[in-house]
Amino acid sequence: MANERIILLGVMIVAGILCGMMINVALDRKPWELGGITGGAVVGFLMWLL
Amino acid sequence: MVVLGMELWFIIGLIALILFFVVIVASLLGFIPQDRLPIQSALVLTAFVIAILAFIGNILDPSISQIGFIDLIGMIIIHPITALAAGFLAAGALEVAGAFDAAADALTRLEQLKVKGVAVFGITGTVTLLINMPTIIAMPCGRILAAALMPAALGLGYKVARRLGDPRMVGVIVFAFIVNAAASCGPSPLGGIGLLGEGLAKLPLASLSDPQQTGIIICTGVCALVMKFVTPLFPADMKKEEIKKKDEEIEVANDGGEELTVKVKEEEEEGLPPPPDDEEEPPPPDDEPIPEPLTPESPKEKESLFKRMSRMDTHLKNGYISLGLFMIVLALTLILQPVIPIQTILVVLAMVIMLIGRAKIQDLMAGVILHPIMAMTAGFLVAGAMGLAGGFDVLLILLRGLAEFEIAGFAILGYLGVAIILVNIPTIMPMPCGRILAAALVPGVYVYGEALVEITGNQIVLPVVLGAFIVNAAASCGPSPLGGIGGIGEGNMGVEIGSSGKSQQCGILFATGVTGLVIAFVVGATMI
Repeated sequence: MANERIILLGVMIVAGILCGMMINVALDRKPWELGGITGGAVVGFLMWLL
Repeated sequence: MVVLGMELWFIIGLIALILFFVVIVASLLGFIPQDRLPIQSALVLTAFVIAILAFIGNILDPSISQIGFIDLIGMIIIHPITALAAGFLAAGALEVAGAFDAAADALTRLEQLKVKGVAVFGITGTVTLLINMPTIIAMPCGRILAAALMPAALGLGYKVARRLGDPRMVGVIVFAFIVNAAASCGPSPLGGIGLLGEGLAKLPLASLSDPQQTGIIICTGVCALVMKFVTPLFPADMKKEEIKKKDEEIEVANDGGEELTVKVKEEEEEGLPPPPDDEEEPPPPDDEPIPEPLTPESPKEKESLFKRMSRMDTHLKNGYISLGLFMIVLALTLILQPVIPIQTILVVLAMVIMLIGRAKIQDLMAGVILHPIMAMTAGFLVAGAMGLAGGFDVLLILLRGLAEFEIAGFAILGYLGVAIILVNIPTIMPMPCGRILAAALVPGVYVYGEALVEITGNQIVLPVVLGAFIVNAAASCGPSPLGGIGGIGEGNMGVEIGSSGKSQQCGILFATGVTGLVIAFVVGATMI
């Protein structure tokens, strides 16, 4: 159960980072620009937490 | 009794099913005008027509049972409706207490957050957080946050568009936000659509939420990309702004007799201007009035300004406290899973937030949105009528037939292909509220999921099919041209209603797949 929660956290953060990278591209930035990646990681974490 | 080589119960079930889909498609195509007969009313009428059909069937063949008024009413499942109403009360209290203003304020502060001179979030991080905010907070209806945060999304959209000189950015931000808001009622534990599937399959509360949220994150990014590169939308006022600017430039050039400058400027405008390297704000456009500094002249004005500012601070302070309290209670409820019903927790929470925000009962009542409640009730009624008339048995027979349909010994769709079509039906036929098709079809999806479990011998298939269907249904109100959430963004941008549908649908397809994958490979073991 605990392992699955941790794996899920990883999956959601990866999904968030992917989303952030897509937003970076959509806003004419480089996909790996820090803002989108940090924002995406926070989104993934918050969604997992709540 | 056999008629035309078919059992009478099968004919009645088939007619019920056809009637249901005809009403849905006719509403979508505009054959049933929504200003005269909204989809909810049309579905309630359909339920009564199915009841009349069953009554006639009973006269011809007594083995077919009648559908009485009490039977129909009994099909309305109260739990998700009361959870939805309680969720609206909590949302109303949060809105009055300023929690959504506080969320918008927090985003503005985040944009300026720097560590050792490097912007941690910057504009893209802020955009990513803002457009995902509805699913982070996960209200029972996406309309709550879509309406509350739309000014922030639009403002950010215009800011980015002006900064990059690309009007497409408004659509990118607004509709990524919209599809996220539309889908956010799926994973909501406050009476969201997910409760329907979780209740039916006896899964733990909010067990389908995390997979749905993962899918929605990807959906949001995909929608932004499609909106940028495939179906760009330009806000009407920004187009006017550009035309006005161009006219002014031509006028100036004609006065000076420098036509060459105009040509060069026009050529520059056709290509994209290079984006600035840093996050600095560009100077305001010439035609935009420059805001005057807040330096009041008279003491009276100074006092009123001070009062106004202090009031705003209190409002924001209350908003932050309410939002923090809401998030803590929500997290604790999901982690501890108390035996107290979610409705009770939400009502108590709403009362506490009422005290913090000094809200009145009327404010709370104003937060209750009738549209999704009516949509869910209509969905339950028509689902009940279809179920009692044998519609779902017929649906299962038809789906099995479709799955086993072969050409030259080769199954065209197979059971999996049919499952994929079934879970995507809500977005293929997007209704103004996802609850209509979710409530109406979830029994059919459940029955088909059970059939898939029998065939594959894999228990996980049922939650996969249910979760994928629910996130698809929840998000489907985004691209709906019948007054879906997309209309809020389209109206604000002044573009044609339904024009953002395709980009949202592309995103939803990804959400459906990713949700299924996460249930199958990450959280599924805890569900069976």
